[in-house]
Amino acid sequence: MMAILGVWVAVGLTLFMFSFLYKDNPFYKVGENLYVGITIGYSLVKLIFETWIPNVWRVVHPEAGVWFENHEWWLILPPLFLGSLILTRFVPKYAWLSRWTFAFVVGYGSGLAIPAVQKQAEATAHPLVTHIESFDSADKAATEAEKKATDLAASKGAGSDEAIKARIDADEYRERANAAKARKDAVSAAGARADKARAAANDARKQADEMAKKGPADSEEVHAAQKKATLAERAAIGAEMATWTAYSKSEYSVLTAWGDFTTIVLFIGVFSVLFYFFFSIEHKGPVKVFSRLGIIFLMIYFGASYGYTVMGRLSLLYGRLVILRDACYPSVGFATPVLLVAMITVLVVLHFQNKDKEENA
Amino acid sequence: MIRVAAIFLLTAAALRAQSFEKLEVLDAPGDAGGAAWVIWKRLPAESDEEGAKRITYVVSVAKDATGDFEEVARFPATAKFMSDNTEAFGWSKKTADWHAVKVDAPGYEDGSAANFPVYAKVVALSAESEIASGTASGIARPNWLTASKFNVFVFIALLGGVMMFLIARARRNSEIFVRRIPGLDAMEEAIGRATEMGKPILFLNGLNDMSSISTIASTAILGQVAKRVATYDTQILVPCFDPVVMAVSQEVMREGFISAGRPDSYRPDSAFFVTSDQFGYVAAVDGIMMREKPAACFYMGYYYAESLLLAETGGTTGAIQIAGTDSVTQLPFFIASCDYTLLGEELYAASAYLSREPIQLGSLIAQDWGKLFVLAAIVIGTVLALFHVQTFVHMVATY
Amino acid sequence: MEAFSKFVLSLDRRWIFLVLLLVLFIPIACPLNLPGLKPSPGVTRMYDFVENMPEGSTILISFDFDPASKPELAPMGEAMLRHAFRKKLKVVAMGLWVTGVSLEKETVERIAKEANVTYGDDYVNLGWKAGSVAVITGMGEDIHNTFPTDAKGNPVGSLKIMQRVHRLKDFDLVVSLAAGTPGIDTWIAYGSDKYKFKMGGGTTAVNAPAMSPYLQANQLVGLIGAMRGAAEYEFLLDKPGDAIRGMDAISLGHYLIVGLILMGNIAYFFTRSRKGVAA
Repeated sequence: MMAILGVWVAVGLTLFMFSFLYKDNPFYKVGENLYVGITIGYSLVKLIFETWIPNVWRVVHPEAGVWFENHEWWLILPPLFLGSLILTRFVPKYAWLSRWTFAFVVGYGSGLAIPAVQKQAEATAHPLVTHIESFDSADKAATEAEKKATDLAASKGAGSDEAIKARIDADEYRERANAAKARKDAVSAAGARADKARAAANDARKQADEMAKKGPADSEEVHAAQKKATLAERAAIGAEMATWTAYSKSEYSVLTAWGDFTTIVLFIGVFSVLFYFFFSIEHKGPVKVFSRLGIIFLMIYFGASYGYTVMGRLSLLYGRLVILRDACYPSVGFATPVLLVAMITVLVVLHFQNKDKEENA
Repeated sequence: MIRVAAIFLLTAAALRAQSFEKLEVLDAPGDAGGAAWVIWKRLPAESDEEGAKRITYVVSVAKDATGDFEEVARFPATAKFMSDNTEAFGWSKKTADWHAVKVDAPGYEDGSAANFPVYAKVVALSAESEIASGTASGIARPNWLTASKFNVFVFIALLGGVMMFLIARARRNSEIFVRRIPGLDAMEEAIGRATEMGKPILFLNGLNDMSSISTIASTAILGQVAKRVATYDTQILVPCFDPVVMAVSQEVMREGFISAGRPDSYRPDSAFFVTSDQFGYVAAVDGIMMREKPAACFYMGYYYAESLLLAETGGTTGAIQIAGTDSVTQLPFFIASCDYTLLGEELYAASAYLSREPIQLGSLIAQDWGKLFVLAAIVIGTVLALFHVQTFVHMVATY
Repeated sequence: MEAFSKFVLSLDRRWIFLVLLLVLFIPIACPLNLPGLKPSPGVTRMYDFVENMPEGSTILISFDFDPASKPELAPMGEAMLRHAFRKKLKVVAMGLWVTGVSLEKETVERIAKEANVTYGDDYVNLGWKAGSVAVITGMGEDIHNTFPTDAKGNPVGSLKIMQRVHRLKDFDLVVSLAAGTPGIDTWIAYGSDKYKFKMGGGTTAVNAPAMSPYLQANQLVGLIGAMRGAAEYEFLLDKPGDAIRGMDAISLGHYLIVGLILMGNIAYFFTRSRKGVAA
């Protein structure tokens, strides 16, 4: 019984809120006030039971004390003090005290935020043009360095500073040469993998097609086979792309050039957007051009973000509509249709009443 | 084959004749305690890669010199160097000649003390022989400072210094140039129109509390708007999401009315608390919009998913709408549905521009310097990266 | 053309609401099973990561959303829980949003029951605690201190899984399913960057573009974006759920909106060019 009542309430309130799309009306007002009241009550209760009682009350109430057992109960005092300072905002004479708390929070926040900016700057500072070292040249350099290190070790002793330094240098060169070799090897390995994956995908697809042709096209086996084929194709595409990526890392190719191009675009984007937000200079001449470019970058980003959000909003609407559909059945007493018809009737009556009033006036 | 065999023999012979040099246990810097680094110099037998591959190190630690040593790491000599851990040992090239293994102090988990002694031993194994080090010891202790974040400290100190200097300058002379933001004219126009139409102005402070910079900026703008409102004798409504923000709003509005010379027209209930639930707040504000039909809506401060719900409803009532937020995800919706939008930092700039308050003006200019610094860092970093010079990147690297 | 522009530009928006409602309701009433669901790289990476975790690994799933984002994020939570239980991983659930507590509890209990796993041995629900950032940093240092008891009031030390994990670093994967702040970015900035653990994320469509740089920078092992991402995960898991069923409606809605945008722009540019001629 309670469950059915719950469904009626959920459906009713959903319809009340949707009725706002038609226009402001008594149903919406009921929903609105209920919502505001419930949320205040809910957050208050949560605040008392989840924050106040465990973090503060139990500290001053030693019997219940979790903190007391840890001998660290006094740790609660600084935050409690800072927290209470916020309340001075309600006494204008002492309102300035709350700044201490805000200063603490802002300081804490910037301490964490500034390294993040640093990190972003670090990530943006890439070479704009990729230089790829070929294995041959890297190997040559490494061999030379190794020879030098061996010579030095022989002439000055293996433990001497110069010899150690030479050895470390040689190791570094060798590491680079090894990396170049690994890049080269990766291309052929990835190529072999891609060929294999493609063949497997083709087989799986063929099998699925044959099954669909033979048996009923809508059977579960066919669906499973089709899905298997799709997954295999996905794997094949992934492997092929991996080959391309490996190649672009081992030799300067179209893909590497494309990577460089995107790095340059990113660089210009960061630069021009930052320029747009300079407030101490007038935006004239070349600065204006650059800041206009910044705005264009921003707008492209906003457009993409907008599209994504439309998708999000539709999902939310979908979620509500599913609730409305699930309440269409006799098991819950036809909640949706009954409430919908009732609401529309009332709205129509109200509409005509208002019209009459207007005409009389 | 012959070469490999020769190296093998050499390594074996060399290992037998060698001993550990300089094994040390150091406290792990910049942590809350309980961890230490065990470091030692590479053995001469590792001088080439083939030799290094044949050696396996085993590190064990104990609570005291006579206690049970427990193995905590086992790895080939080609791995785990000091130079892999730049946050602890810096970027000096010499660190490549040392092995380094981070170990947990035995007994730390029971949390009975702050400092823990760590005793460590290392054994180098090769196919036919092994050599053991002596025992080294150190203490793992909690540290007050994290040296690897020193560059962040320098950056913040620099920025803070510049900010203090610029604020002091703005105090002496408030004629500092700040470029006028086009949105400000629109704000003026909106207040004027509300006066003409005899309808109220709706002003929202966003959904963050007073510790957020955008809320601080929005209340500063509210103070200026209140001043105009008082001068024109218009009505203003400020539904609040946070009780503290409400108190601040009332305060700045009162000041605005006083400075406009009309303290008696100020009504404290024009800023009121609604609820601290996101969509409960939206439902209430949307209702207010439909009933009061404000002539102008201002959305300043930080917003979340409610932005479009607010601005759409405001749009249907025909109000002039001006938004200002640094919430990047919500900017698109304000741009699409409002007459004018202050983008990101323009919100702070607008508040500084309107209030001409030295602190705000000074910090705004300081932020320009900060941006210039970031830009310069990116350019220098990019140019140096082109020549494979890493020093600068190391200087600004974060951990 | 002129009549068309006039019609489009003066169209009462309520008609659009009604059409959108109908378009979304059709596939809900009778499923269409539109083809074309292809997993995106972010989702695949997440799926593969979980798939390759050895049996008995620990995974922390933080439900950082409230019922308002349920259609997008709850299917992700369900799919990930199903995946984790299927792979016999040890799951610890929690949440940073107070308004999401009961939703999180309900979801975890339902999927756990479906998978027939035992509380304490196979999964644990820590519940919610105030302080978002403080909770994350606290868990980075010592989870038992931050959560002395679980959502049911049991001392955390008495739960078998929790005896193995003391700090965030002890988890093999931490996943935040977040509708905003505190969420993925909070977990990265205050958690994984500092305490060095693997982080995965799921987020709403609104936040997906803002989170994708973290995926590119490998600060996330995978990213599930919006209901579409959840549907892709369900597809990979081979266990269709709410998200896959929802995708039909969403796709139709998208077609409608793209059509409306095109119509609106054509009408707008037509009237503008005519005005230009007249002037």
